[in-house]
Parts: sequence; C-alpha cells; structure tokens
Amino acid sequence: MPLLAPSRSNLKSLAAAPLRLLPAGSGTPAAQAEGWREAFEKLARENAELRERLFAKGDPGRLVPLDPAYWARNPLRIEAAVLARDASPFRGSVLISAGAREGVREGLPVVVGNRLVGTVAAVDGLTSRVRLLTDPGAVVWAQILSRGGEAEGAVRGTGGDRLEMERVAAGVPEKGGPVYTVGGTARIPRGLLIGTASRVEDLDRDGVAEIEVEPAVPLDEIGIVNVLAPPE
Amino acid sequence: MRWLRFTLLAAALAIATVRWPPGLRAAGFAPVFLLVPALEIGLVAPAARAAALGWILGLPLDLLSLEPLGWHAFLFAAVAYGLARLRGAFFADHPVTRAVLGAGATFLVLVALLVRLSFAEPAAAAAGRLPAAILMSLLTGACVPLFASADRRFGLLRGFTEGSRRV
Repeated sequence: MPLLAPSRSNLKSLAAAPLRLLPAGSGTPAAQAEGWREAFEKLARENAELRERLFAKGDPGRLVPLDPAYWARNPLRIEAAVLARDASPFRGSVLISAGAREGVREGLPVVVGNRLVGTVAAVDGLTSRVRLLTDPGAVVWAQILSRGGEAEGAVRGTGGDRLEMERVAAGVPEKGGPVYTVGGTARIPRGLLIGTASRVEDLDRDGVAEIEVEPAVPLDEIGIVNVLAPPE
Repeated sequence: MRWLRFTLLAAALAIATVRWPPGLRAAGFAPVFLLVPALEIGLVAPAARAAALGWILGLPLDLLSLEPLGWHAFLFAAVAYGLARLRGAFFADHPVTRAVLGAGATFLVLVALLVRLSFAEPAAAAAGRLPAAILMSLLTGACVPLFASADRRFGLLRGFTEGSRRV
C-alpha cells in the first residue's frame, strides 16, 4: 500500500484526531487525562453493551476481528471441488481438485467463505489433500470470544465430528462463543471462524475449561472449498 | 479374467468407501467396505493367497488416506492370513459364524489403527473411539455373509479359492 507523502496539514490532522473524542473546552493535561478516561469508559460500556446484544441475539460471530494486513496482500482464492474423503475410518481429510499447478502449497488454509475447514497437508500437480479440522492430527491456535472477553487456546480434532479446545482458563469462555483463528503466521490469517463452543465445563475443577467446539461448516457435507494463497 | 473381476470389485468398493453418502451411515459410520472381501477371502482361500489378496485390498485405503502407506495393506493381509489359518476351528460356512468372525477380525484391525494413531497423535484420545470401532466392526461383520452370498451367486472370487480346504 503506497504511503501518502506527509504534509504539515496531514500531520496536524492526524495528531488532532484523538482529541476530537474529548469533551469541548478541555485544556489542562489533568482535564485532558480525565476526558480521556471518561471517553475510554464510555467506549468500554458501549462495547460491552454491543457484545451483550449480539450474544443475546445469537449472532456473536459479528464480533470476530479481521486481519487487515493479511487481506491487504490480496490473497488468491483458489476454488476447488472435493473429490473424495479419507478412506481410513479415523482420519479426516479430503482430496480436492486443485494442486501445485493452481498455486496450492502445503500449509495453506482451506475455507468455505470465511470459515476454516482445514489446511493443505500434501500437494500434487493437479490435486491436494486437505487435513480437516476434525482429523486427530489437526491443531490450530485459536481464540474464543465471550461476553467477558477473549481467551486463547489450541483447537484439536478428535477423529469424530466435534473439535476440542484446550489450555483455556475456566471462567472466561461461555457456551455459544465463536472460536476463530488467532493468526500470527504469514499463511493463516486472524479471524477465520472455526466454530462455536457447544459445551464449556470444568468438571475436574482444575481451572482449565473443557470446551467442545462445533465446526462452523458441517465437514461431512462440503462440496466446494477455497484455498487461500497469499503472495509469497 | 479373474484379476479383472477382482480389480473392478476393489475399485467399486474404494469408490463406495470415499463417496458413501452421510445419509446412509449409521450414527455417522459405515462398514469398512474394502475389508469385507478380504475377510471372505480369508475364509475360503489358501492362507498365502489370502494374505496377498488382503494386502492388495488394503492398498487403496493407504493411497486414499493420511495414514502411512502400507499400514492398511499390512493389517488386511494379517487378518486374512489369520482367518485362513484359524478357520479350521470354526464352522465357517454358517452365516452367523462368518458375521462373528468378520466382526472380530474387523475390531482387531480398527484397534490396531487406533493404537498407531495414539502413538502418532497423542492428543487424539484414541481410546474414546472404541465405541465407534465396535459399531464399525458390527456393520462390517454383517456384510461378510452378504458378500459370501453374492460370491456364490456371481462368482466374485472365482479362481482364487482353488486349493483351499473348506470346513
């Protein structure tokens, strides 16, 4: 993204932007700090109210943050059809109709819309094998959203049709909270929806929540997927 | 001709395995289709031939899966060989015996798959998949007498059973 040549008026405008949030008439540093604090508290209240409304409406997925830096690189969306499922009883993978010739590489995320279904495990010339989130070998670092905030943990496949989220402190996550990718790698962006917490418990009272995640996409029924390929 | 028939059978079962519709599954599970003829071969063919054919039937599963190449082939060969060696102790011609032996052998194969998975992916909680293994074993075992009936009618395994000692 090209940088605009900074001019004096641009810089002044940029520097003054936060001050527009302050109440009119603020002058002294103490008054400004107090104004900042009030503005922050107001925003925090509005944020909490918005979260509460979206959770009550059953639509907390709209709170999932995006990854502007990743999308600004204009990643390629390689469309592919699912040709076959994993033949082994306890594995979760699919063969798709896109391979190295189309630009598919190992490790790339595979999505349906903005919902993650897996990652590319192996690539041939014309086809690729995608390890689904439900495969026992699948693990994705994720965040779960709730009214009280966010918590990070690892989402693993179990070989069945549910996922498990591990290493999350009990108390923060709640049932119905959306689970999404944290990102932090060049290949998998933040904000891809993984699923929704269908069960949150701490049965053994060890302070670590046992979370079951229902995938955002029914992985038995996917027909067309997209492989996200950011430019190298 | 017998090899063409066998190849077409294996191909059809491989396609059924990877394209079996979710609506036709029992609690999300289906029989292990490619294992069914391997089990029947173990009950009717000489031991060495049963092992070889079992190995061939397991290979498509290896090629269409994330599991290591050769693992399914080895397991199918082993159960087919084991059935061929042990069938003298059973009245293997009875459909119920076929179903029970088939279910038992399938369970051994699935447990072996789970054991390998538990070492390869320790977080997989493979023990939790035992009920699924039992269900799939029952479904697969139930298919064995059906396949035997189809074999008698259509000669699916004709040419592979000569030289065997039937009970």
